[in-house]
Amino acid sequence: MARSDVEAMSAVLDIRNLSAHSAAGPILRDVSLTVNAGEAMALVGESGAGKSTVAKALLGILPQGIRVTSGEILFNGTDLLKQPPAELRTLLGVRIALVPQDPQTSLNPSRRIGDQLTDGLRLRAGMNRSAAMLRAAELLTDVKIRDPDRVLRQYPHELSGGMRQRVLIAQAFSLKPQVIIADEPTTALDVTVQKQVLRLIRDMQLEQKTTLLFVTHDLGVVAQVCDRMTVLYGGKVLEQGSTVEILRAPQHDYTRALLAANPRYDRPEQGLKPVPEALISRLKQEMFA
Amino acid sequence: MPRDLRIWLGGGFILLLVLAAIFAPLLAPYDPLEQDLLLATLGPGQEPGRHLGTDSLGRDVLSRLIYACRIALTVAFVAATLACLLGTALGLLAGYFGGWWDTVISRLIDIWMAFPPVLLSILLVAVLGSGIHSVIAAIVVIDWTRFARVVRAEAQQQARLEYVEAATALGMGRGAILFREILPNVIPVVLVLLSLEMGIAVIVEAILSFVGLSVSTDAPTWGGMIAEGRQIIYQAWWVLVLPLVTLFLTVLAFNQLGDGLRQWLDPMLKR
Repeated sequence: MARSDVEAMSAVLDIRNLSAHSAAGPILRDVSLTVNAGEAMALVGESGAGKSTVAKALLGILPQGIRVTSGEILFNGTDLLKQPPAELRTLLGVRIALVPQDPQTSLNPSRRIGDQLTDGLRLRAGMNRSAAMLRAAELLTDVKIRDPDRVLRQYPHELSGGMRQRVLIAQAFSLKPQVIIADEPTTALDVTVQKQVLRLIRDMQLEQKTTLLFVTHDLGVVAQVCDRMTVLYGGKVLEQGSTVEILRAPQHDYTRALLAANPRYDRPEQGLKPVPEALISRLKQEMFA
Repeated sequence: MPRDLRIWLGGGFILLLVLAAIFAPLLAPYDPLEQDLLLATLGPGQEPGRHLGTDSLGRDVLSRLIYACRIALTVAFVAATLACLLGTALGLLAGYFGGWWDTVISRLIDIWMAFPPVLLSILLVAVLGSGIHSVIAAIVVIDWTRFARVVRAEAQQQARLEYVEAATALGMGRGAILFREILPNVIPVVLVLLSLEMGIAVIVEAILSFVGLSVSTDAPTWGGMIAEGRQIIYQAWWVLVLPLVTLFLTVLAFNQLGDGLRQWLDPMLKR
């Protein structure tokens, strides 16, 4: 048995040759990646690279107009793309959960935090209201929210962005899923809050041995949270491997340029280095050739 | 006008009308149908006990105004609520499920709204026969589109928001999302519409009774009183003006209540 096959066996998520198209053209080209049990995998790329499309394809919530044209998404060996919607729904929330991108809009503005946080516990885990509320208070404590009983009674607009994101994290972890997909969970937060939220996600992931697929454009975030990373550009995987190795010695020119583009706060005189135009046109040529 | 004042004034006036309607036999100084031709067209305060005067047949205007509340409010509450339920249900289906549902319901709304409402209601009552049930039926049949249109647009907008996506990713079914995620966000706008619709229902009832198509002609209604008062406007202006003012205040109260409720129910505006 080849070594890659052995690896694939222990993979919780195994995306094979996934391609997706919209009316405007290809969004994903032959994306393959595996995420092993208990590991944090980063999906890195600039906007439009297709990283969110991978996450949404996994959850079956692709926006209208984008279609998967080939490939498979194996979750513990079963192809999610072949599951009927009702079957897929039984996995969502319970086995695979999402931490959404924008805490401002991802909570229902007209429902109290407690009601929203207990939806999963009541509808999916079959808990009664009072038991679910107690559990929700525990979950809020787990995500380091003080005075959880008060927060449960509040509306989303009464909470800060960081608090809301913590609530969403608590919701994602509430049914102890095997896999959590975090879709740029810190992009909408300011830097100090970002750091706390990242640490929280990492700690909870390690503690509960959750498998994490972390979608981000921020290499600093990757370095903090993820064991391995996949670099996407134009819907294509350019580089894949352990975070430490890639950040120390990037193999692909694009990854190198992306790393160089990260602002260095310790050397402000260097300014910002955008990814060179020449490299971008070369990548595009390679891809559309 | 501040939010609380709108709710208190609007709601207070409506509550007053409701109480007047319920306790009409106790409150009305005279039988609203009792004629006294010797005391016809008395001005307000001209005769002790006849606070708001009498009409051309000597019937007590105050008593008639009070009894007319019964019909006006029954029509307002029942017709508006039924129109609201029907319109909201169809609007949610069209807005959230989209596709085939949306096509059918939207076309239905378009066709419906091409009919001039007052003519259609007169036609409907003429076909169904006069009476309070026909008036209610006419209002429901015509005005459900007001709710359906707005609720459809609102549901459509809500369905695209990320919290609906988040709920889907949590594995919630479409029914659960419709009732738990979308409906709560649609309710504020539905309540505002409901309140406005009650005002509209009062006007429609007045129009139908003005042309004599509402309840039987001798039963007191504001529209009927206006119609009678119109004929004797130069001899007894109060027979026309008093029901008109009552009608105006009632509709205003419903509208103010609706606006106040909207601000109060919207958690974003809540402070």
